[in-house]
Amino acid sequence: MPLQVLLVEDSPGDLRLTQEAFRDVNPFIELHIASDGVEAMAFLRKQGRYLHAPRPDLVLLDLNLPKMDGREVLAFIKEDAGLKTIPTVILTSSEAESDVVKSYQLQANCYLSKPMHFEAFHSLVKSINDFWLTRVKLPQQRKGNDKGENRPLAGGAIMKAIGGNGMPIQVLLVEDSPGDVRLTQEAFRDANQSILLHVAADGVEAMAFLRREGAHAQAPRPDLILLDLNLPKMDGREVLAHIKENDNLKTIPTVILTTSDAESDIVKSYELQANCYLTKPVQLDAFEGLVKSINDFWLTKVKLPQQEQGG
Amino acid sequence: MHDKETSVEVLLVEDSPGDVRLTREAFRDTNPAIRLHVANDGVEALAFLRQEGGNADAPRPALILLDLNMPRMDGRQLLAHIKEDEILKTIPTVILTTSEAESDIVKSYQLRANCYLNKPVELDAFENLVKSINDFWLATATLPPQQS
Repeated sequence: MPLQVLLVEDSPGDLRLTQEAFRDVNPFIELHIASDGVEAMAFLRKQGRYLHAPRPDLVLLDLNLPKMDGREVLAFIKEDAGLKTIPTVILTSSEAESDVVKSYQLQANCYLSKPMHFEAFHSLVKSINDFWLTRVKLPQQRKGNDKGENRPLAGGAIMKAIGGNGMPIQVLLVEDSPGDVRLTQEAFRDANQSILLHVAADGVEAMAFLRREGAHAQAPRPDLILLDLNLPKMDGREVLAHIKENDNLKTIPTVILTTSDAESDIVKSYELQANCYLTKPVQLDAFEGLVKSINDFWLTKVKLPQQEQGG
Repeated sequence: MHDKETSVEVLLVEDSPGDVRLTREAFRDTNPAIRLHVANDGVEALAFLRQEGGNADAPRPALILLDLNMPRMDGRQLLAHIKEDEILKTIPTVILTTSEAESDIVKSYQLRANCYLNKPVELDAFENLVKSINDFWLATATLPPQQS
C-alpha cells in the first residue's frame, strides 16, 4: 500500500501544483484531496462517501478554508484519541506570527509557509517528501484497518507481515511503473503473508537500498531481487552489473522481470549473471500466476544464501 | 556580526558522549550558525528549559532533539513535561533515538513529539540525517518565534 497523504486545500491552483510536485518527487504517494475543513473531517472520520477512506500517514493542512478553517480541523485532529498521532503539517500562505504560534499551540507537528514561486513551491514539496515521508518514522496504521498494514519506507511503499518463524522474507522490487508495483504487491500479499516487499523506483534508488546509503541506512539485505530492465536514472542492466560485480551483493538471487521479450535482452541479462529471466505477462490473471510461481519457486523451493553473507 | 541576531539555538538531550560529539560535528559542518546546547538527561534538560539552577541565562531553543533512553528522567517523561507546559509546548521536539520499537514510535506521537527519527548506526548516514534535520527544520519549516 502506498503512503497516504491527505491534502486539505481550497485553492485549485495550489492543489494542482501540489499534485504535480508530488507526482514528480514520489509517484508512490496516494494524494487525497479535501477542499474544506468539513470534507477533511468527513474523510478522517470515514463518514458518508468516505466510508472506505484510508487513514492518512500525513495531513497537509491549509489554514484559511471555507466552511471549517484549518485551525478548527487541527484542533479536532489533535483532540481525537484516534487521529492525534497523525503528523499534521500546516501548509499555508499566512506568515502571521499569530498563526504560527497558534498552530504550534494546537499541536501542529510543523508549520510551513507556502512560497509564491513555482520552483520554490516544488522544492518545498520535495522537502516534505524527503523529510516527512522518507526520514521520519511515522506511527503505524491503527489496527482495525485491513490487515495489509503499510509501513513507510524511504521512497517507496512496503508491505509488512511476519511469517510463522517470525522472520519475514525480504524482497526488493525494482520497478518504476506504479501500476506494476501495485499489482506485484497485491499478488505477493495473496501468495505469501511473510514477504516484506520493498520498492525502489529506479536503479539509483535500488543501489542506495542495497548499499544502505542515505535514507536506506536501515535497509535489510534482500533475499531476492526482482528487477525490471527499463528504468529511469540507472537502468536494470546497469543495476544488475553492479550487483553481480559486488562481492557482498552478488550472492543475492536477482530475477529479471520485464515486458521485454527481445532475445538480446535475455542473452545480455544472463551474460550479466541474472539468476533468471521472466517476461511480465500483460493479462492480470497471468501476472498473478507468475508472482505465485516466483513465490513457490524462489521463496519456497530455493535455498537462499545466508542473510549475513560477508557482513 | 552579532551572535544573538544570527545564531540558532538547538538543545540536544543525549546521554551518550559519542553521539553528542557526532551530532556537534555534523551540525558544525552543516550550519555554523547553530549553537548546540547539550543536556545529558531529562532533569538537566528541564532545568535548562525552565532557566533554573545555573541556567538563568539559557536561551529558549528553536528546536529540541531528544533521545528516549536516558538516566534519571527519560525522554518520554521529558517530552510529556515539555508538551504539558504552556510556554514550552510550542518548541518543536524531535525524537532522535536508536529505538525502532513500534511502541516507542506510537508513544512518542501520542505524547506529541513533532516527529520521530531513527539514529542510524553508520557515520555517513548519521551525518546525512543531521543535514536533513537542518535542511528541514532549520531552513524550511517556519518555527515559532523565539520570544513567547
